[in-house]
Amino acid sequence: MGQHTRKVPGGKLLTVTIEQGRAIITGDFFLHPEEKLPLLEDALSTILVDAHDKGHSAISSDAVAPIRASLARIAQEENITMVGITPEAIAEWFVLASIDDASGNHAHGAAHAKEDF
Amino acid sequence: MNALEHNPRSHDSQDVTSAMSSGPWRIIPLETHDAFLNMALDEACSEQVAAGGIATIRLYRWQPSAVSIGCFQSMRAEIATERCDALGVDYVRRRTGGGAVYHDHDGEITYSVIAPSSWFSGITESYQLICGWVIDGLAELGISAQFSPINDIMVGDKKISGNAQTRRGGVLLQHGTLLYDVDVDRMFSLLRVGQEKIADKLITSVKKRVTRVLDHIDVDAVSREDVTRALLIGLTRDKQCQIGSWTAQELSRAEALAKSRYRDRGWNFSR
Repeated sequence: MGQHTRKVPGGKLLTVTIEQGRAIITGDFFLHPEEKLPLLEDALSTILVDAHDKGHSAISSDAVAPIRASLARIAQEENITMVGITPEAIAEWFVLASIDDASGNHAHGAAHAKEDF
Repeated sequence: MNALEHNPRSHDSQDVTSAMSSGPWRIIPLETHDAFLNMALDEACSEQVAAGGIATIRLYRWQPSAVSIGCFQSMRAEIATERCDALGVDYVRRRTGGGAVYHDHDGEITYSVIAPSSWFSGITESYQLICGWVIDGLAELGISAQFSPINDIMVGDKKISGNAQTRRGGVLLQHGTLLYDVDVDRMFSLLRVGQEKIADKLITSVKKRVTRVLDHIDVDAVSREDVTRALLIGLTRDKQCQIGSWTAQELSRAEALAKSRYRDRGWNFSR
């Protein structure tokens, strides 16, 4: 399992977890329509599969920009509004979670403030 | 648009003061339900608004006390569910985003605003508009509060109200909490972060960032009913309102939703 958790500067808490080849996005952010979050997770999971097929243990940090562009395109096509997170943040967190996954260092001890509603 | 609001198709922002709050509105006065029915009533009401029914403002409490989490949060990561079970505190996943909230039966008042989305402008603007109604209510108590984007109401540098919004089927649902006399230690003992020793300093910091109505009023002169009344004044000011109640259809639908969704472990632990 790999994970990266951090508050988006000026925004909300965002966690990207990689578990059993799937990318999972969680946090206290807002995204409308809510039902479309899995589209972003599916896109990231496909990137994971492609990387695995190419024999890569982690997603390269050089991939942040194209992943961001891919997420932004999905958001535009699906009319997804994100509040408190951005495609850039998701892409960056995803790459860091991938590196964490590859490292085998899974001590996710970071504590985070809980926010009401 | 807020810098952290990402929508490539977003239209230009409108002046908040020009955002519509048309009516008529149905007002459901303070009532008490369990967590599952409270969330189900919000959804059932949203459905009736989507079908052309009356916009609604409701006030409610939670019995037993409960924790709600945002729809994108992980229940296991956020909530000490075993401690909730031991204390008889319910836990439920909302349909709205946002963070975990402890709804103390005696220490918190929740409100919902459910109306056609077309009555409001952008997301940030509508948070500001509706939070402004709550701020007006606090002003009735002599409490000076301010809207703090994205979704908070602050007194000074401390948070007194958090809010969460969803827009589905042409309906805006915003629910928010007003901390009245919440036991902050108990609140944080139910959130997973409260059990992490590593977080001690952070928890202290978070506690310092929270305030309650009780901290700003003369408790001998202002009752809980007065606070509820003030909140209602703020929420209903300058609106065409009528006191109402749930229809039999809404109650029936809410009971069904409570059973099929909000009591369902698959829903609550879906993340």
